[in-house]
Amino acid sequence: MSERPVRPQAEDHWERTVQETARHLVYPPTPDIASRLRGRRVGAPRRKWRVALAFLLACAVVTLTVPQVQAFVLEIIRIGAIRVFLVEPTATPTRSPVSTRPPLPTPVRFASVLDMPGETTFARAQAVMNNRIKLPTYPPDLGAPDRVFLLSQEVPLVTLIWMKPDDPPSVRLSLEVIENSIAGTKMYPADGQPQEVSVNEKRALWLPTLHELHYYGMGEEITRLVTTPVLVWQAADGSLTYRLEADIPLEEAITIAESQPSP
Amino acid sequence: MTEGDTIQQARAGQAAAWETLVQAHQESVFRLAYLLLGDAGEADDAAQETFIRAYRHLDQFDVARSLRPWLLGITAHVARNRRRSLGRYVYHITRMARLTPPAVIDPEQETAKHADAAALWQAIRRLDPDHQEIIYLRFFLELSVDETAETLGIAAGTVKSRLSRALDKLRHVVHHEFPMLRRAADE
Repeated sequence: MSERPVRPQAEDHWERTVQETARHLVYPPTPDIASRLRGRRVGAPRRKWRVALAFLLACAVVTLTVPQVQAFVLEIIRIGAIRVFLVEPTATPTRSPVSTRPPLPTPVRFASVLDMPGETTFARAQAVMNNRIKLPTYPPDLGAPDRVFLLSQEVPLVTLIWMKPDDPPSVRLSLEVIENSIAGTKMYPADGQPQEVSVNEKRALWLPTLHELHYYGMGEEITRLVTTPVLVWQAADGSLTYRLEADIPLEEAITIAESQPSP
Repeated sequence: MTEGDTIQQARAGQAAAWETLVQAHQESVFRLAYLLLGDAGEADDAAQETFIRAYRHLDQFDVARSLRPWLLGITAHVARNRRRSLGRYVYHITRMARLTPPAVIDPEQETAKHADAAALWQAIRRLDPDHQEIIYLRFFLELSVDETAETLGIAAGTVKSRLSRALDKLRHVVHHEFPMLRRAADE
């Protein structure tokens, strides 16, 4: 069937028809977003100079401490969905360019885990992860996470954040839950080897030193400088990878990891 | 008190002022997110993220302007990111899992006009994202051409030309795939 040629009057009529029809769409009830936000710590409006200062500081720290594009990979350690790149800085690369750090695109840099996009509720994150997120039962006062982020590419990546009760703007610990079927996270330690440890008698990694964290495969690469120690391990059934970030000793990090029920 | 005054109070840290602004605009923000994402739960999350982002960048907002287009611009951006970051696979799987297809209407409200509106929405969802956004803003949220231009960060003339192309494509989709709306499209 051929369409009729469209006349200006017909265009006006079609426009009016669309507008009139659109008025009758039934929407779900609007949630009371104002009350939902009331209980959340959304932080103060940012001052431009503070953002600029934080950015400059982050750039300076990265420039001074993290091997840049001239570095090449000595070793890649993989734990589930996470890859740790051990790199060696050099002024004149003499090996294959394949071994350099990812060149493009320019990553979006976040100063804090709280700047992550995709903030959501725990219930929503659970739904997307098919209820496989199990919360640590240690420390006993931990409870439910204060903030939840769902960063995703082909499959989900969830970040759970607990704030310090006596210092609410500060993060007590963050726990990342990642599907093992993806490899969307890379870590670049600035110096030193990650320590091989054991969680539930399985191989795990402890990175006590400064490192750069990259999330990729989402259209834009996201990066963040991590200054607190990190423990990486896998779920007992091998389906999920966990990344715990907290300013705590290794023994306590392992206790938290092992307190988590299997998915 | 003007909206600009309320924004100034919110900037100064008065939680009640910010809550007033959220209440005033939450319906528009939620509805645009719902139209773009097609799921009430996703739209709820996107609306919350919109207001969190807006609050954090409130200092950058020009109080001489209307807040609504700025908020809806953030909503469109958040929805775009969510669609992209969720990816097609998860997006469709989670939508199927929720068993809340957008075309389902409360039987008590299932009048012919509601059914036509739901069918129109389904037809619009076949269009490119840019064309969807401009139709939602102009005809579902009933923004003026200038407000739409401000929301999308484009010139008013571009709004008119993009809208004209979007309506042409919508007419084509309706003509071929939505017989219940065809008569209106062919008149």
